[in-house]
Amino acid sequence: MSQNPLNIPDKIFGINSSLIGMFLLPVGMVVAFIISLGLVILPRIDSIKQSAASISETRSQIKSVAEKKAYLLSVDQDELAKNEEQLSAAVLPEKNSYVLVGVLRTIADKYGYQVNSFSINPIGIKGDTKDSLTVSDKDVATKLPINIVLTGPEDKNLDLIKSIENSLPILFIDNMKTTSKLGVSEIEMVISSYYVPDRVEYVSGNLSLADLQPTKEEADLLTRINSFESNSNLEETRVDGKTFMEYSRDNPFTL
Amino acid sequence: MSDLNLLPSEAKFQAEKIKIKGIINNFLWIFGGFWFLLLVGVVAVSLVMQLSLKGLTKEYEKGQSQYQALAGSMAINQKIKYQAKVVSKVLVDRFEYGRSMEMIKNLFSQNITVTNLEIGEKKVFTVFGTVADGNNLSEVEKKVADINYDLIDGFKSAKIANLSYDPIRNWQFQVEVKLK
Repeated sequence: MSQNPLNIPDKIFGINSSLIGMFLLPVGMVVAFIISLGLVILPRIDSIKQSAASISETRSQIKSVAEKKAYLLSVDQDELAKNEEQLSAAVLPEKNSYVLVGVLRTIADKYGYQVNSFSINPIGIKGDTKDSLTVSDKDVATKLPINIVLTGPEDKNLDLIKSIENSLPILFIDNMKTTSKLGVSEIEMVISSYYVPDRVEYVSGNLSLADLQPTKEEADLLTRINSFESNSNLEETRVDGKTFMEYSRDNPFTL
Repeated sequence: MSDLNLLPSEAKFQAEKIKIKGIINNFLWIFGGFWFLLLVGVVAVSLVMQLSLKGLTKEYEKGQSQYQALAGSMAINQKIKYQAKVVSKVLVDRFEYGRSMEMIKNLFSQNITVTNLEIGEKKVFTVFGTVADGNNLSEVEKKVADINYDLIDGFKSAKIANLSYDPIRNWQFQVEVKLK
């Protein structure tokens, strides 16, 4: 006698019910597998894929950080400070044309020239658009021109011009007229330089190694700037632990 | 064996049923084993990955904190880059007169005296000079012609803008020279 507690008929749709019963377990197992596939296995596979991507990304970040760290540690700090100093000196430290007069007087002194007269161009002070240069998204360099007349030995005028052109802050000869008589040269010039306000923050975003390393153009510029001579008459002074610049306000007409 | 039917057709069916049951059992073992292995494998790989990621994240954070410790150096580095950008923008349009003045001063021989030099617009020089002997004026004319025939490097064009004679100051000339 066969036991049939559920009272299932011998045949269902003409198929022996015991035969159908045999397939219930594998079908159930396949259904359970499909459910587990959707609820456990596939989500886990997705999580594995995400983890693999995160691992790969983290590995590249570790490599990048290690490279950047190694690069920063390899840089000569003295050279870095020197480069910063040279580049800071390349533009005027304050929006003041009088600083420019001081710079020119320092250069003129070297070649036996004297400042005969000077006048500060008011256009430069107003900050006209033609006297400004956009250097970045936020920053604008202001051109400060001055008219100056220098007198000195004729044979030194070329050296004087070359020295002006190789000076820090970087000077621009906008206009020039030289008159020579009996070995004395009078040079009337419109000379300008740029003032760029200091930024509070220089580091922005996540930097790559390429962002840290100097480009060829930057390296060439640093080489060029390092050949320039600083003629700024500013002195860094420390009082009570605070650093500030002391501006010389000497009479520009005297040696 | 209680379901055993000894009728020949039923026996055949039972034999087939036993055979199918064997196949189903094999399927269940293989499929169940595959399922189990898949589950264990996926969970194990997932755990290993998570542990590995955790380890790497710690390593990254350690490296990052060491890198952040170099913030001072990094700030100077970025300041230099910014300043270099500013300076290169400032320098891009600068014309250097020193070399050009040297070229102009060396243009004429000692017989010709350059008295004044004017630079109005970029690369345009006005040269004022005197010639003691009128015969040397041909040198000025020859230099102007040579420049216009592109025989002298660095010069684009030249023209005599003015020429005058004064018994005291002799011949005076004014030449406008354009540089390349």
